[in-house]
Amino acid sequence: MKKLVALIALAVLSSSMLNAQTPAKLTKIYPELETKLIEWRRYLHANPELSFAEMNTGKLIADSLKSFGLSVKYPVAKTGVIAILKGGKPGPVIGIRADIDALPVTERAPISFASKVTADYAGQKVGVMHACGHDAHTAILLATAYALKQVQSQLPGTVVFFFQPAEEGNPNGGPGGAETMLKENVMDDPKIDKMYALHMSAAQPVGTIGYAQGAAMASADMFKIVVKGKGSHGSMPWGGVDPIMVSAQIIQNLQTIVSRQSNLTKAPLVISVGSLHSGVRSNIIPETAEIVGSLRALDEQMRLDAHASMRKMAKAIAESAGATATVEINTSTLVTVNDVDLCKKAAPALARAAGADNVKIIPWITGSEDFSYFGQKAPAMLFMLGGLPKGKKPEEAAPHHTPDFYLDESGFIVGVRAFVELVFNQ
Amino acid sequence: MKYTLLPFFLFLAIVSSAQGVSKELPQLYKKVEGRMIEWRRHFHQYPELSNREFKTGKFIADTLTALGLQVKYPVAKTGVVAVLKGGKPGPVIGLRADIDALPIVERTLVPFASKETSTYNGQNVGVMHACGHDAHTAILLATAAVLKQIQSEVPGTVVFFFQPAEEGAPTGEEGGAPLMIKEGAMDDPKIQAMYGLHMASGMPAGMLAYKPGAAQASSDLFKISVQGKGSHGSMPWGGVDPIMVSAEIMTNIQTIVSRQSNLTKAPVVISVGSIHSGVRSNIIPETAEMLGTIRTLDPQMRLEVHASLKKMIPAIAESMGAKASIDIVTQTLVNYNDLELSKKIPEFLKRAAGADKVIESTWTTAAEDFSFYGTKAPSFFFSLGGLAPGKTPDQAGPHHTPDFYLDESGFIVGVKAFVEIVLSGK
Repeated sequence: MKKLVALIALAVLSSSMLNAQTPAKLTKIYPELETKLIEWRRYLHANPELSFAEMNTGKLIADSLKSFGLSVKYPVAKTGVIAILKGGKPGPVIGIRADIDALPVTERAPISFASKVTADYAGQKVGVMHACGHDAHTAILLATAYALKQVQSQLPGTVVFFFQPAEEGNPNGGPGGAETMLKENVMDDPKIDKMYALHMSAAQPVGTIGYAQGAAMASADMFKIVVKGKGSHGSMPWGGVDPIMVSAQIIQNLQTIVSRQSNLTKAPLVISVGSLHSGVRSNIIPETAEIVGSLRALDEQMRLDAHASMRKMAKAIAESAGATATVEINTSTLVTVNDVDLCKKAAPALARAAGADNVKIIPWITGSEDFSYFGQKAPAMLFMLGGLPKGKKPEEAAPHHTPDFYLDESGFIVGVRAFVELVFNQ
Repeated sequence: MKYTLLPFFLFLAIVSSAQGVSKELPQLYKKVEGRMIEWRRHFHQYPELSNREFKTGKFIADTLTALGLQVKYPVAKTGVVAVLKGGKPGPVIGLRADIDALPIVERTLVPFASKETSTYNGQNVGVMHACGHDAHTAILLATAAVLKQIQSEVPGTVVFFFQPAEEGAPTGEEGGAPLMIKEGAMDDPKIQAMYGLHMASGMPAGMLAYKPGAAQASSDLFKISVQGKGSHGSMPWGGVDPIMVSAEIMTNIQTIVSRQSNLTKAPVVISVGSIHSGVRSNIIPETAEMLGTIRTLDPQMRLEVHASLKKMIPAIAESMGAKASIDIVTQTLVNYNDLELSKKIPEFLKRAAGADKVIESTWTTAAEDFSFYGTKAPSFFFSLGGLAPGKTPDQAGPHHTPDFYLDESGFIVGVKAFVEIVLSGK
């Protein structure tokens, strides 16, 4: 009895000691691992694949994980991979996620391992490029799996590695990568207790970590408004119902959902019309107009309120002009919420990985992440890892999703250390 | 002295000559009607697009030559001008018919329906006389045939204009009335008054209508280009949204009609017929392009509308940090029926159609390039009904549609109207 109490006390003590100190062995293998990590990343960078077409990428990940000695499920969600590592000590089930897909962008970065890959996208021949850092995410998570395997016996709990396809969305419409994975119940067996991910940030100083507490990244809803009027000759508009005028009014008034209806002290909201198409020539008033846009919210209730307002407003404006309008809203991602308790607990671990000065709480952004779907099933946290070379200013960094997107590799190992520290931070 | 007496003598001459030939005319009309309908059916069956009226022009030139007129061919690419010098003194008057057809697939059940196809803007299209230019051409040929028979009684000189491309020359080509004028068709002999008629499918067959003063609208094509700054749809503050600017422009240009134009003087119509911007929901595009048409019935108001558009559009764009410009391309001017002729001519129209078959109509916002002739000489343009007996106007296939249909029984009234006008010596 006493002995048991002492053992428990020892366990508590040792686990709290672990918080302060990850296995010393790891510190030794990081330099060698960093070299491998950069090799993997460069290979992935030179051989990018589009969303849900990550055939070689998925296979490479699955083969690598098997060679490390992990138990591997492949394929998951078409081209994804899941690997499980059971630690030698008791503890929670922790999920870590990397996204693996590239973008239809032609690379322009002057690096030796630049992509020359092309593919078909929406019927067009396009260049393919890792222009959002998913190559780094994948390589960092592979390196994390390798590192944790080396200290498996000391590992508290179980770690599940998610290599997720199609974060950039399903090219055919329909559910993207995270949603597809969750439909396959990937978080249920073993049941994930908490979930982590990182995202590279080209404009954040290399090796630094930033995270927002609570709502961190916006939901993204694609909307399509089709206005149906009545065609007429341009010289006699009174014989028809002009869908272009109705569209102009809808586009203008949608902005008042942001400026007059949303409580912006709670969270920001963005409604953007990205495309408006109607008509064929100057003197024919067309029958229909099509408005396509994106809604970004950082609060779920505000998001739902905005949906209701958009539907009501578009229809009512159309009706007031004698037209009809239909509103279709397709959800691409939910609000990515960083669980506040998880963030607080994570803070010391991240500080150990990057150095206390290099970890910052950053504001929420209107960019979006389908990691939000994982957050529906367990407390989750996504942090940003900087990739901006020393001496460069943030405004000099090429934005994500552009041909000049570039990452300084020297901070990647900080991502590995961060994941490792989070796992041992129990 | 001479000048004051001359009209008096002319008047006597006309009255006597008109009376002199009036006995022959019914016979001549009866003789020509069959041929005219044959011609019309031939043109209807073999329609040709604007500036492509090769066979049509040749047919007209050959027919006029066979009739014994002095023929100039080709004029303004595919048009024909013929001159008939009367045996009596009098003015030089022009009579105009337009000869081109439209890119429309005919759907009427007439045995001489068009089966012709052609290319238009790079597309394969059906070709159809869907605006009655076949009738205009046949009526003017028949008029030439009748007047030739009574040449010695004709006061002055009659110049017959068979004009191509009334519907507008293909992009980048010159054509129509402006090109006829540019090639000197009104200069030698110098035209002193110009007449034209247009079929109206919704007005009872054989009826004539005219409107003193402004009758048809000016038509200006405009193109508005908005230059914003692209950004991601989630971060609109990083860009300048050309779609929002376009919506503002489209909404506000309507106030040029409703707030700036004195509508008690004349109506104004500004229609945007096409707007195109952007490629997907979450990218705010760089540019937007609108095409539209301006219709006015007063030359001064037209210039004021141009000035307002040129002021308003760049200013709205500037207020939002964008740039915008408008290009205005004139298609037709206000088609103005000379007030003197509008007083004198109806009497002769009544002789042609019967006193109860001539009405004064209202102005329309449709456009006619006949308006250009009006800049060189007093002009008068009237409508001739083509609605079959027993039909109501709403049952008529509108102009420029596949179901456009004309009852042929009133065509001869058009010939009579032209002949009466010529014999009037106005």
